Amino acid sequence: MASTESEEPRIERAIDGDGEALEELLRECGPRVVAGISIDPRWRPSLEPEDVMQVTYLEAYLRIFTLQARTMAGFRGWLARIAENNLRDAVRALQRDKRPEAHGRAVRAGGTSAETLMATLVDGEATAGSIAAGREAVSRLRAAIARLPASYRRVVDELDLAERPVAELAAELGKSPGAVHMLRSRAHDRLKELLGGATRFFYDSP
Amino acid sequence: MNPATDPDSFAPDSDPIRKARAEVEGGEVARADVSSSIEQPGDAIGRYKLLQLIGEGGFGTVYMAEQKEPVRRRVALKIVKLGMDTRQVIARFEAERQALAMMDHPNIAKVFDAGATETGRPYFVMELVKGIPITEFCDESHLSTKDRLELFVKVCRAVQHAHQKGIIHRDLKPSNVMVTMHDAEPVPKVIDFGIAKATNQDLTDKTLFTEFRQFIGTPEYMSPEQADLSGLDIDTRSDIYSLGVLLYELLTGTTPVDGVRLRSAAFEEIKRIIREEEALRPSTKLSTLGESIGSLSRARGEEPAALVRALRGDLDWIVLKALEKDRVRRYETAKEFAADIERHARHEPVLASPPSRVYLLRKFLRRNRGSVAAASALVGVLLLGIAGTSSGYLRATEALRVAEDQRSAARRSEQDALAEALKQEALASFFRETLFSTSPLFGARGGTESTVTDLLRDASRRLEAGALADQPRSRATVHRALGDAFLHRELPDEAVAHFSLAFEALGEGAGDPLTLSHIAWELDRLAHDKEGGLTVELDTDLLRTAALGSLEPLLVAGEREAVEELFRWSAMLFNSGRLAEADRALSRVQELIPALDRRLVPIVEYARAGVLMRMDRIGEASALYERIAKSMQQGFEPDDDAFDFFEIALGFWVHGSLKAVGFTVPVMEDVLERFRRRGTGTLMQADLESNVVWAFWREGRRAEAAARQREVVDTARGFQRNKVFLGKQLALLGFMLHGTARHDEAFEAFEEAKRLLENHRGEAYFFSCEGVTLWHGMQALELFDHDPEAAVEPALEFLDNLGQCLSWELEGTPYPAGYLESLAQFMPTMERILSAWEGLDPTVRRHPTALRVQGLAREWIPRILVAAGDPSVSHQKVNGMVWGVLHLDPLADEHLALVLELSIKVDEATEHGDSSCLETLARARFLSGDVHAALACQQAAIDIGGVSSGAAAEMKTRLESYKASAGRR
Repeated sequence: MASTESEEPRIERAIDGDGEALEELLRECGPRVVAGISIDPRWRPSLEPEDVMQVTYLEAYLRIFTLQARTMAGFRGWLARIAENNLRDAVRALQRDKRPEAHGRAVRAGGTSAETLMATLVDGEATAGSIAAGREAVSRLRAAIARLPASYRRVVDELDLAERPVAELAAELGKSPGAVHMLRSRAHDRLKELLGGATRFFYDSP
Repeated sequence: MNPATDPDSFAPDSDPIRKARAEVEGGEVARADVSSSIEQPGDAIGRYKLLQLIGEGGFGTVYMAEQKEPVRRRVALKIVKLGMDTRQVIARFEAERQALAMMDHPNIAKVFDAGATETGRPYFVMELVKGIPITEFCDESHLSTKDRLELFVKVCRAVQHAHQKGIIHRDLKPSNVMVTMHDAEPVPKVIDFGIAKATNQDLTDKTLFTEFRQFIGTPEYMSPEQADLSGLDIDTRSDIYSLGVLLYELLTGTTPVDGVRLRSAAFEEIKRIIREEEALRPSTKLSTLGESIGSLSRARGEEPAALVRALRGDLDWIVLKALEKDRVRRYETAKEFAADIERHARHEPVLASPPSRVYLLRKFLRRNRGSVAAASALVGVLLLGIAGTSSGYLRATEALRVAEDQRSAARRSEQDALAEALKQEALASFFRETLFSTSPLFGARGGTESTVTDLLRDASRRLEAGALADQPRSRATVHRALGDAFLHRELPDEAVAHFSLAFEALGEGAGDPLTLSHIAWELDRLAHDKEGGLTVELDTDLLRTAALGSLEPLLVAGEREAVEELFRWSAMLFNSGRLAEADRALSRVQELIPALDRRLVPIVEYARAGVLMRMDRIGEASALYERIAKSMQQGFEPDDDAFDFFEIALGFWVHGSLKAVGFTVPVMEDVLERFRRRGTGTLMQADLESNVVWAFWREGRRAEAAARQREVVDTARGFQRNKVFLGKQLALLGFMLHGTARHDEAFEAFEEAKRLLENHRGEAYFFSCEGVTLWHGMQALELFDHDPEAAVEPALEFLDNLGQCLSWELEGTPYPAGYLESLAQFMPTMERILSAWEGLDPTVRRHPTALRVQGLAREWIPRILVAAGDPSVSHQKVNGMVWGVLHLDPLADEHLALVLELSIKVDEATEHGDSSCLETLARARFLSGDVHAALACQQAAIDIGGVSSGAAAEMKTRLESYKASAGRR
């Protein structure tokens, strides 16, 4: 049985891209990570542990190559950290939903929704206006969106580009609003990586 | 088999792990084909055979190619990369070709031909420049400073030629200035006009170049205006700046700002560094190079000392003139730049010169912005209440932050190169070990907040375990760096622990007094920052005493840095409300500064006057103000440099004391007119105009003020880059329109102001306080009548912001008139909204902010009334305060009596001729129960007239309400 295999080679295989090995690891560690997820009662109607784990598993597949540990405890800690981050981001977004901060509401300062998204991704400090004219950047953004996993792509398309409300999309996808926020947050992280960060844009002169 | 580990026991649709795996492995992650060039050496494009790939950028590829006919020669062929041939890239490509084709200069690469491949990808063919970057050439050829300058002058001439053809290069840097040898003569060639821009003609009609602005330029060589990224206002002086950086590098072997530092900084920080950090003089830079000056001087065949001497003086000033942050102060043309270098070579006087007195003062103001602002903001500019100069506001809000930046940017005083090298090595090794030996989590999310914090804590533990134990200076440096990092992550307790350890390490005798003082300053600031989130008790008295004590020998010796350090201490003490200590520090600075630099005396006196004002030593402060004002008047010229003076003068004017020495509205108008005639600094003009308008408003010329403010807004719309300025002007317009009863227009102005300002809450808190606060108030009013529930949120925002406005900076100051005026306008309705909440939501009704604001407002009444009784406060200001107080209901009898007394005094002083003062008196009499006298005053106010129709209508409405009340009684 797979679970009897010694840990290190299996983790090595997972890191090397063996989906089967990673699946086994996730099945073994997942339940303990789920058990460790504690959601504040205020947010339970909008977020369930299963939502957190769905995105956590996806992130695990996308990021397994970054894992440094070679023990089960290390793997579990790594997975738990991803889950914690997901939960934290979802709760932050839900808090924002409840009472939006002024600067959050005003990210958009003219321009297309893609430009606004670009402003969000490139630099939280940058004004949308300073980004808006970067049509070139927007075309890169679109290429990067095309490289997202389907579930991430969907939320970016629907929320950031079509500017639909989270609640509406959540209902349509049969997910909780917290799950949708989480997907969006992770999608933004991934987009930032695909875009290479703001500094790269600065240096990309032909 | 355990179902938990049996993959077959999970249905793919419902199993989350299977779903995740399917999404990643099942081809859902599209792999975009990263486009690249498909040409290969050996291929032919048109009549050119590609020989070798010689360069590659984001959008284009450059090959060395062979042309067979009509002449056989080697050329450079630049072609757009496959997949990058978007409309914009093609347009940009076309621009480069056109730019090059327009120029014919021996030092600019020529364009021979252009065309498109069969698939439509454009290319162009240009002179093949077989050279090496100018900096490398100079070093490899061991060129002397004189020879470097000769070569550089040729580059200036090439750039001048481009400018004459209307082309700005926008990316001048060593790798775009190649040097080749022609008949044993070095010939520089300027290449890569890929991001060039036409100054007076369209290079292409296909697109706007500003669309590329995010991608253009190389930060080390980028002018401050380019770093703004607006792309709208770049002219040839931007190239002058880049040439200045190039010359700096040719002379010192390094750029003014270190490239590694720039590349490791965040995007906004890069922009800030480029815009704000002043370059060291080239000769000073050489002196700081330590051992590497040896290799640098060897490369020039000169002795290190001789090299420094060669740069000191003319060359320092020439380079710094080209590197001026304000382009108005740079060389106008590349030709002028070159001519100055040639003058230097001929030992003739150069145009560039050491800074003037006024210039030095301005620099001082900029450098000590935190200190000067802390003092001036509160006692001068803040007195403007709701308006004021934008720079003054920014200064006020950023004072502490700037002071912190100064702290972190403070120069190290250690000069011992060997010790420094050892320290650097020790530090490098420490961080290397910390970074690579710990924290597997670091890779998990690419360096998120928590993992970086983990890393910092790992470093802390390593120090605790004894790392660097035998190297107190290095240990102190690491503790300080960790302190900064924790502070940045808003973990002040840990920051304080590290700063304390840094202080302790330096206290072992390894630190210089200035460094010690910087750390003590930081700890003291944290200990007294009420909102800093520090949970540990920190008594900094001993630290402060020790730090200031160690500064004393330097102060006695008249060390400038020590005196400036004491000045910064005074600002921080002032900011944290320790006025007596601030005054002691400032009085010591005041004592020392004349011997150091007489020109700085007014600045220090100005700060001291501010502290005295806060200490209610009004007489001493006023005397000081008048003395400074008189000395300033003697040398006052309305040029750019004098703007800071003018701003300060404005503070005086608001305070009222300058009226005595002639700084009145007509004088301001006169200054404004002189600015206009000069035709420079339009933003500054608009700012000034806005201040004059505000002066009108305060003088009671309200309709005129509102009309002129609209003109300011129109002007401000032209400054596309400065949304904050426009937002502020709109908020001010909204305020004035509201004050003249043009509510619909006011609402529109506020709405637009809010849109612009909300993005800038953090950096310009005042704007949100005023513009956004008022907007929320307006919105609440508008909504309340038809949808009370919807009014709750804006009302909460309003109260929240206003509460912060009142408590944040005004506490302890005797001049809250501007905010009180705001409060007076909105409070009655807010009260109504608050009471309406009873039916809506009990928790909202008990919102602590709302209670705090009401409490604050009432608590303030006595202080306001005391302030209003000060004879140095202008009648208009007293009137504004009293009007505000009259709207804070309920008003205690003794306060009402005082208000009435003040209203009578103001009305008498204005000889019963000011309608707004009469209206105030009317309301005071009405609330005191003397309705008939109230009616008479109100009627008199109406009879004076001269107000807008809206304001007249409001006055009549009030008259009617007094009449109705009289009828009921």
